Amino acid sequence: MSPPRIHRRSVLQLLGVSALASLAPRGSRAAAQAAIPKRVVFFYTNHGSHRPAWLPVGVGGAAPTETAFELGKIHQPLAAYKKDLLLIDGLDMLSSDIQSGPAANAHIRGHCHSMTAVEMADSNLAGGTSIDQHIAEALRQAGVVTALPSLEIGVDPNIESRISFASSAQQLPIEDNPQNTWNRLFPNGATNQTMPVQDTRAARKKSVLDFVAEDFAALAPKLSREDRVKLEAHADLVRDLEKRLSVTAAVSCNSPTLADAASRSDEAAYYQATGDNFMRLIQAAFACDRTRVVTFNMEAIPDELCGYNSSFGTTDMHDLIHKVAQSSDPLAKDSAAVDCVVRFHTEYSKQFAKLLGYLAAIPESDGTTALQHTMVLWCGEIAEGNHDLHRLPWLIAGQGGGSVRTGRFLQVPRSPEARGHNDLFVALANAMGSPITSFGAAEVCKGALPGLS
Amino acid sequence: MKASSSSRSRCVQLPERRVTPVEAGQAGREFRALHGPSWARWAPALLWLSACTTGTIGEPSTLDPDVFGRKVDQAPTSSSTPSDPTAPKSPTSASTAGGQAPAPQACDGAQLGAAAPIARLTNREYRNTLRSLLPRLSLPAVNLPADVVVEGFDNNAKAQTPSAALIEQYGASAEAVSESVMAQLHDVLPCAQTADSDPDGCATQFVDSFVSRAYRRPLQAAERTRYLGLFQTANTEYGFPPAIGMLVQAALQSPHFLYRVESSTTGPLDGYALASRLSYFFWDDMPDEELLDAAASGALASTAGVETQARRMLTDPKARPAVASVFRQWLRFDKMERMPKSSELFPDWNDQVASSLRSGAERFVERVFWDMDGSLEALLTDTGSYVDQHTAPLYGLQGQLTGLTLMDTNAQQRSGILTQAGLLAAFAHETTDSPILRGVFVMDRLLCSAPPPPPPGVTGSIVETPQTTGMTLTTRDRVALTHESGECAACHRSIDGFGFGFSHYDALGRWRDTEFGLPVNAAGWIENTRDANGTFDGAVELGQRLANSAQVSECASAQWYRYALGLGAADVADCSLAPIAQAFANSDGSLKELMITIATSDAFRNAGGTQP
Repeated sequence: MSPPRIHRRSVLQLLGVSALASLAPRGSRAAAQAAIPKRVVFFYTNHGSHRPAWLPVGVGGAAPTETAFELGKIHQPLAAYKKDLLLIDGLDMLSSDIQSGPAANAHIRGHCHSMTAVEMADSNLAGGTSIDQHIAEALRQAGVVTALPSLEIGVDPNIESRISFASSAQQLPIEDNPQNTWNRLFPNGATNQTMPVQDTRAARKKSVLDFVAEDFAALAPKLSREDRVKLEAHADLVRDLEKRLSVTAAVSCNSPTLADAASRSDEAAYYQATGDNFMRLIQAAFACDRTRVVTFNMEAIPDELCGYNSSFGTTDMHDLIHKVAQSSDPLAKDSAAVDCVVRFHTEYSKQFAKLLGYLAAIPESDGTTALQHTMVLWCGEIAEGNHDLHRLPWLIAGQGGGSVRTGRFLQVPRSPEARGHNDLFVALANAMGSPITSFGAAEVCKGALPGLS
Repeated sequence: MKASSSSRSRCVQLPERRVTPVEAGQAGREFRALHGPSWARWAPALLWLSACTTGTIGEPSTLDPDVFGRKVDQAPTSSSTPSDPTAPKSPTSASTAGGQAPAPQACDGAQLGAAAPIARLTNREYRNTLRSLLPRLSLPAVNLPADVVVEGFDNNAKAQTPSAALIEQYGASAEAVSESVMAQLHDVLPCAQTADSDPDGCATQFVDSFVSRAYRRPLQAAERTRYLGLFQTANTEYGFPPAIGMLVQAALQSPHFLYRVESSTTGPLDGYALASRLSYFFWDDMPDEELLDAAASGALASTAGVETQARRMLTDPKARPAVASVFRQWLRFDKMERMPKSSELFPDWNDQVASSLRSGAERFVERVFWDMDGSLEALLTDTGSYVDQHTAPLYGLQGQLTGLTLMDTNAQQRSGILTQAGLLAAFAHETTDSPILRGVFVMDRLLCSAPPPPPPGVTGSIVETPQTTGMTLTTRDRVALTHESGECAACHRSIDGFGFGFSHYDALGRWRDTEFGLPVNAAGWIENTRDANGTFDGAVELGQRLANSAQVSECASAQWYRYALGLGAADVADCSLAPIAQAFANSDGSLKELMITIATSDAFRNAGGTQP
């Protein structure tokens, strides 16, 4: 099924708004927003991958090279997008290698390190700002004002994702209900975007927020240092919301109709339907420039979808994945078991392809599509089912407005020293306009990863 | 703040390759099961098992991060294990129990109050407070992002990160409520009759009533003036109803509403701050008129005054859901919200069964608290269970039941919360029971000594089931084989000692005498506790043992105390907790009295600054 194409202009005209007028930048936002926006998506999946089926294969029996390769088995659903992919092999979570602090469950550890690339604050929480939040803040400082600074969404309500962090130990919630996200993206509802009463309401809301911000300011000096930091963060967000309200009022936009929520008792159907709803929201958010930064947690593919059954004798899919990744385990050599694990990751490929389809269906003013102005990083908490955090099976889809040269297999040299995923984040941040030279744990960061473009 | 490596939790590292459960007396049965004459038939399995040292540990599939995320603050000490000179000294609290009982010693001077960071209303508190503020209004739905759960509790003040989504939702909610107010002005305004003739006067009355109640204290003159200023400007620009609506929006987004603002200097809390502490502890809700009156009159300055209010609050219906919520968090009832089970193995399992099991466990603790004086002993040993037609088969009961009914269950099989089928099913896998999840649950929630998570790099899971090995092993056998040596043994010796005691309960919490045709061995052992060490047979005996343990009693005090103040385990000061734990013990372990004790404690009634 091909995703619906977005016809932004026609929709806006239907709503009685001139697309050109509503999208025309004004004032200080002009420079930041005049061009086709660059966006970034962190597409997050669990259990790493199954390396033999992840790696691309060479052509004609040769080893795969940067440009001469075929996609591995797991990536077959992405065949149509091969030219839009940059597979990156050889990055390590070096920040985890230098972690001296508390022990942590391997998955939690991976979660915490995966997007912050810094030592953990404690055994549960990451120790720094995650890359999505860094980029969102950098965009804000560069004068980009979108309806939402970033979106943090996830399909599975039962997973406590320790992915996005505002700062050390400050974990951000992941929204699992597409309707709530819809409400955030389209606060004025699906229609009547431009009724005058809405403008008054926004104006009133702004006055109130201004009043509230003063409340916070008056209170801050009376608090202890620690409490003050917390309330100042709150006050900043109130000010930020006040600014973003004007965006909401000025730009009207098409809102997707969400499919009805599936019952959670049918986990496979729920997963698919919720995932699809979120992807359509991402599409709408980008098409309407409601946000430019999305963290999308696709954990976890329901067991049914990958053909898991009890014949493997494992407690569940998770258990099977671990065993298949352990060379000493008989299941590692059991072809049915390995196939099942490969199917698990292939299902993620299908979801990833679907998202790319939605992005490729957004036309841009220069005749390209939004996919060409987006970087979708497929990342996760571990590299392999055995909890290894080295040789991350990550890839980027989309060209990020010329920041990424795709259709390639980038083999990051592992000698004399392996490079950390910090370096990839520096490159991503740079591509999104944040001129940093180091991200996360400085001692393992060597600067922007070369070779993206 | 980074945890230093010295606070890293650790387990006792056993020098020998094999644990010797035979040392644990009755647990010799376990030893025979594992190492007896039939040992040879498992030998092939061991060739590839290679146990933990090469990377097999635990059952990570459904390990709960929070259950596993807790730190053990002190190396366990027991006569059977050598003391570890590198083990960190206990910094705090009964949550670190082990070793000597803390001498009950009150904090002195400036340390009188607990160091509690400023707390934001949890989502539950926010909803209840809105309802109480505007009782006559039909309120819109509120979609706040979920509270962050730390160590099982959703009110950990340190972890309350304000996010953009949260602030938007506060804004959206405030706006939606203000629209309801505008639509039902007559129900909300104290002065609807005079609004037209004297809008300023009416707005003043509204500010004095509504905003003041939202702040949970009288307004200062300057605050009052600001709100009136907001009203007057808005009234000129937008008219009366929108201007009132803006007052509502402003109050509902104010830090004085969303946060419990307290003095940052040490010393007795003022009456209103204390009233809020009390009402959010006992009710998850704002103070009522009577409590605010007590704050105004100075009645809360005395212990007797606080106790009077606390006892009154416990008799109010609002205390019921609030207490249920503490139990739900303490005992991880959230795990019962999702209990997928293999439809191949358990075709009779369905959502209705799961939901009835959950309700049954909730009713169980409700009865213990409200009908049995909150007795900790009853919690751990009472043999009554709430059963309905859907769960009767799981409890081995016959006959038609209409709705949840209190049944006297077989006392040899069911006794106390640990044997409630709902909890047992929650701490199990889809296909099998889990000694590990159950053992960790007991250590974490009842003994406050959660084992550390598996060390980094250690992977894998327990030994295969019969389908793949071709050998018949009980769940216990498989776990024991996996954990018998090396790195795993260090922690799993303790975990499995508890967990094996649950061997009679399958993945659904059903009693079984055999597993795969083999007799069930539920012999367990307790070690590294202060006063509960030794062997036991089955979860019923385990419950009785724990009911008599001072460490469990202190742990319960610690958990409720932490919840009362929104503190993390590491932020509980010994000197604050000790007198509370002592009083709890003196009350014969009444959780009801524990709430009163906490409410009247120095730690609760004094500000402590935010640094511990």
